[in-house]
Amino acid sequence: MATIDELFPRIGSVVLPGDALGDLEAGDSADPADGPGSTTSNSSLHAFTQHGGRLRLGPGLAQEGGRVIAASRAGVLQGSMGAASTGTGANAHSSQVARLYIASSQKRYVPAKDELVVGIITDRMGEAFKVDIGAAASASLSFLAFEGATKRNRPNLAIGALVYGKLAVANKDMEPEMVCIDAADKAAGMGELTGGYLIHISSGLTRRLLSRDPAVLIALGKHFALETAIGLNGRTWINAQTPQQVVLIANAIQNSEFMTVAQINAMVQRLVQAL
Amino acid sequence: MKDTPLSNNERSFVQGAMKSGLRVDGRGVYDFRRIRIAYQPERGHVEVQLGRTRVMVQVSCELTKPFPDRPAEGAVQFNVELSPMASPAFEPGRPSEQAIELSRMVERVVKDSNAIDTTSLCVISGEAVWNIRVDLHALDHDGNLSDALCMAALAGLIHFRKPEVSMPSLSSGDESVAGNLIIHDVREREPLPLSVHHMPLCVTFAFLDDGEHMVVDPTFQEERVAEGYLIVAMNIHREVCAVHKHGSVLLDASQISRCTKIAAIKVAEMTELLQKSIDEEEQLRANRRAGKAPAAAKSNKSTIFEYQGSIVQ
Repeated sequence: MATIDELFPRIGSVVLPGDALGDLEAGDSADPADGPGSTTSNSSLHAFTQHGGRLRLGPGLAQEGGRVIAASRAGVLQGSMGAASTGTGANAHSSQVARLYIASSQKRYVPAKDELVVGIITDRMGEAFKVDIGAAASASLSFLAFEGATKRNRPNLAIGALVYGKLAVANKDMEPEMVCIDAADKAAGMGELTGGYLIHISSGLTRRLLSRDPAVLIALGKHFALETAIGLNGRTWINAQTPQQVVLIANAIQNSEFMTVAQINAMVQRLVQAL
Repeated sequence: MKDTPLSNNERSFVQGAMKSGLRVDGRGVYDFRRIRIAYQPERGHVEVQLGRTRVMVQVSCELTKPFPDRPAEGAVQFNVELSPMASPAFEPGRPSEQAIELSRMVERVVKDSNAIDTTSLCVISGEAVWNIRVDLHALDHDGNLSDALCMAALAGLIHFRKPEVSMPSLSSGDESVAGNLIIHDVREREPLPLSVHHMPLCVTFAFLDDGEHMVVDPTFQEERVAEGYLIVAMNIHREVCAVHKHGSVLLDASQISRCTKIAAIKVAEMTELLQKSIDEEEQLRANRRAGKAPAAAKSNKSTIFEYQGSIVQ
C-alpha cells in the first residue's frame, strides 16, 4: 500500500500554477538506472491507479491532457489516503482513494461537490430555499432535503436563517444544490443553526480548523464547552454557553490564523484569564 | 456583486452584545481598534489600518490657474475610491453614494475646517496656484471607513511635500510668468511641507434602540445592525469641526454633547499617536539622509507605527 507522500513527493511543499505533480501513465518504463527498489513517484502513481486506486482532485488541481496532475493555483499541496466508500468484500483492500488539494488562503468561495458549507437563507422559491453560500451564484436547498421532511411536513426556516449543509451538485455550469441530509436520509449534524454567532475566515484557516488536530479548538475546548459548524465557504458558526465565551472563541479563531501552536496556546490562555 | 446577507443569528448576537455592553471583537464600548499607520517611501503615500479596516492615501499636486473669484488661493481635492477589493458590495466604476458621502465628509473635516492653509498654496496670484489632490482608497472594509479615511487624509497631507518653485528672471520681459515657472526637482531643492493649522480627526458612534446603546468605532457588523451613526470631527483644542448624522436614529442634545465629550478624549489620544508617528517618521528620514540609517536597504521600506492603547485582543 502506497502512502500519499510516496505517490506525491511534493505533499506539504509550496506549488505554483502549472507545476506538474504526477503523471498517471508514465512509470511502467521506470528508469532501470534508479536501481532495484527505488520507485519513482510516477511509477508508483501509475501502479496505484492500475491496482484500482482512485484519485480525487480537490481545489487548485486539474488533470491536464488526461494524464498529468497539474496545479492551477499557488499554495501548499495537501492530501490524504482513505478507503473508497464503494469498496466492499474482496476488492475492498484495493479501492483506496488518494485525496489531493492545494491549500491556499482566499476569501472567495468556489463551490465543490460534497463540501460542507454554512449558508444564509435569502429567499423561498416554490419548493426550495435560495441560499447564499458566499459563491458567485446562490445555491438551492430543496424543502425535501431535510431529515424527516415530506411534502406536507415542510421545514420552516425564516429568511436570514443559517443552515449547515452539504453541496450535492456543484459544477461551474449549474446552480449549486445543497442538502441537509446524508446518504441515509439522516441530518448527521446538518440543518438549521440556531443561536450562536457567525465568523468569516479565510479558506486556509477553515481547512486548518477541519484538520485532525486544530490547535485553537483544542486549546479552547480545555477551558469550556463549545460548538462549531465549520463551512468550507469560509463561514464558521460558533456557539457557547455565554456571549462572552462566544466572543472569546470568535477572536481566538480569527487571531490564530498566522500563529504557531505555542503562540495559539499562549493566546488562548491569555484570553481565558482576561474573561 | 451584492453584499453578503446578514444572518439573523449574527444580527441578534451583535445586537444582544451591544445591548449588554459587550462587543464582538472583545473591546470595550468606548474603545478604538488598533490603529496602525505606515508611511511609505514616497511622500504623501500613507496606509492607515483600523483593526481590519485598511485605507491608503496618495497626495499629489499640480500647478493650475486659480478660480477667478479666489485668485490667491490654492485648491485641495478629495477623492474617495471604494473598490470591490475592500468589500464585495462595492461596485467598480462611478463613485457610489457612499463614496460621495465619505469624500464629502473628509472634505468637510479637513478642508472646510481650514486645516490646510490654501493661501500658502498660491504661487503667483491670479496666475498659478498649487492644486493638491488627495486620493483615498479603501483596501479592506471592516467598518468605520470615515475615521480611517480622515486620519489617512490628514497623515497624507502632513507627510506630503510640494516641490519648490522659483521665478525666472524677468529681464527678458516675458508676458506670461506662469508659463516660465521653474519647478525644482526634489533632489535639487528641498521640497516644502504644506502648512497644516490643526489636526481634525473624526470619531464615529453607532447607536441602537434610539440611542440608548452606543458604541465607538463600529465594525462592519455593528454598522449593519446599528440604527444610525453620529460622526464628530474635532481637534485637540476641543473645537468641533464637523458633525454628521446618518440613519434614522433620534438623538437628543444631551446625547450629542456626551458624544462630543467622548470624542474629545479619543481625538486627544489619536492626535498624540499621529503626531508621534509623524515625528518619528521625519526623524527616520532625516537620519537616512544624513547617512545614519542602519542599512541603506531600509530606505525602500515603509515605516510602521502601531498604537495599542485601549485594545483588548
